[in-house]
Amino acid sequence: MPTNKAKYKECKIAYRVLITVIALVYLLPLSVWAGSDISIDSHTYFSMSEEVKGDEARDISTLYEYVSLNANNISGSCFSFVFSGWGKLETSDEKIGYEYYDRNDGDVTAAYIDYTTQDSDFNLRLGRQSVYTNLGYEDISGLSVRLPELSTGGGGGIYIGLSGYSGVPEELGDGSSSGDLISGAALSVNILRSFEIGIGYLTETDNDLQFRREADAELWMSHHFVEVYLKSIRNLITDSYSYRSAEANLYLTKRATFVARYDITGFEDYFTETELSIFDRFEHEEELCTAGGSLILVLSDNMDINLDYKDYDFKEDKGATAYGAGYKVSMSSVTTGLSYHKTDSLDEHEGYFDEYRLYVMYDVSKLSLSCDAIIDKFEYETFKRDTSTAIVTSAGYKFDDDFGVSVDLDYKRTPQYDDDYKVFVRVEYFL
Amino acid sequence: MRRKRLIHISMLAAFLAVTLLSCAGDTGSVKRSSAPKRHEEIEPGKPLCTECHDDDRAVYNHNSAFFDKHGRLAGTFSPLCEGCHKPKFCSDCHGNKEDIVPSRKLGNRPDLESPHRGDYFTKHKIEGRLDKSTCFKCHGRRNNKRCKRCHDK
Repeated sequence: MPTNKAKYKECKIAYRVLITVIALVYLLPLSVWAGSDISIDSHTYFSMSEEVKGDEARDISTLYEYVSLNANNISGSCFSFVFSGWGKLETSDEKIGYEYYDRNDGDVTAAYIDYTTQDSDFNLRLGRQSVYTNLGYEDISGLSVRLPELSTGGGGGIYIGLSGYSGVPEELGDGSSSGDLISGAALSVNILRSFEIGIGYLTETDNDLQFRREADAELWMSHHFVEVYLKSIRNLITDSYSYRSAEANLYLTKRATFVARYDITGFEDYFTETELSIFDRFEHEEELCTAGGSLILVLSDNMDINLDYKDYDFKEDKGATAYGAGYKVSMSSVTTGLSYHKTDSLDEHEGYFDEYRLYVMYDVSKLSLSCDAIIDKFEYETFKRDTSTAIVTSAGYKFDDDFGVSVDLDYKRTPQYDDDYKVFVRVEYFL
Repeated sequence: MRRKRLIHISMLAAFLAVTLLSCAGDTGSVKRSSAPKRHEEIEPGKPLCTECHDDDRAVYNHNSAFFDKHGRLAGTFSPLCEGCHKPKFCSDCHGNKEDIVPSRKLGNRPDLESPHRGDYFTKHKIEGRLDKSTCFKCHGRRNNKRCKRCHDK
């Protein structure tokens, strides 16, 4: 006797297949392709690695294929079809450590029919898709719609926007607390294109049990050189704020930007559905308050510097501070980046580390070379050593604009692994 | 903590007050209700919109500040992103069951922002303690399989 959860999974698979078949049927007749803007991308990755831990060593190799298809303006209409997905095949005898994953696996990341007006003002999507909302990023199999803005006319005035979606949520968890229906809507009122007030709502149910219900409110303001964004998310089940933030971007000049951010995350309300053990050590009333800023200076067309600072302040736990600087310069075919970041405090035994990074990229004609080295120095020895070194070197060759091959050699020496070698091969083809 | 928070709020309030005053009477525009389906060809590399557009497009400049706010801008008006980026660009990092971490896919592009570069296995327990909500933006707010592998109750 299949359980509700099993039935639900079967329904989901059937739904995905149905959507894909409908889409393919729609696409197959040759006449339909006429006047369409079609692109197909293929990315083949082959990953080989050897991890050495003491006397133990294990080899893992996996072949991945990622395919995406975009058929825009089918028959010159406003309809498009988008598909993307991936599959993998583990070619080594030893299974990769993730026991939750199958050796041979795959996923459809997008399969939807899109209707978008020429000016992109109205949009309708049906199928497996990702929706970007102010309450988060959701993967659904269902329907989403964005209506044209209503306006009071002219170049100024009031503009009202409305969008919504509903469908089966694609699982990010093991299904134990993932819903069978997710729906959301957002309303925005824009005044003089300078101020905008937005509200959003999201609900997720599992077998008629509503376990996620959230609402958000936003205020956005902009001037030529200033942008301010305030946001709050309320968990309507616990009836309390799960997240509040304030962000100000100051575009001082074309070459200088200052960003200030302030966030408050209430653990009890933000992680209500989480059952992971990492929350055991916290009192559920724990609250995190972060404040920080960054300054980006573009010194010249090919040189920039950024400075950042962030303070973590917990209600119960000890806080921390993270700060650093980065420098990037491009000279004809060479790009170099250098950065230093430090994280300190948290507690006496862990949480302190310094990170040094240097990368160099060299692009000339069809050849590209790069080297990226990151060294982390931990204040306290977490295992048998206190420093980790990670170096990725890459070499690639573009046969033409649509076909290229590159190979990465990745080496790590970390507190956990004596030596960790990886080879990663990319074959990219665009049609 | 209360004192620190009070200082933070005061600083922010002062900044907002200055901002509001500077915004008064403005009829400029950053956000648009429509966008072309395809942006015309641009030079390779990270685009700075203000090189061609008015200063009010500075918010979309792909500089170092852009990474932190890209989710919000996509949520506000995704067609603008889709003018240049295909859906795979988003799912490379935000895919549902992604097996390959973004930094490996982008191993040949160290100039691009990507989480998990270097020895992230050691650092994740530090950064995870600092702010778990940043992990959950990609790994799911609830009970992600990859997290449960070690952190199951």
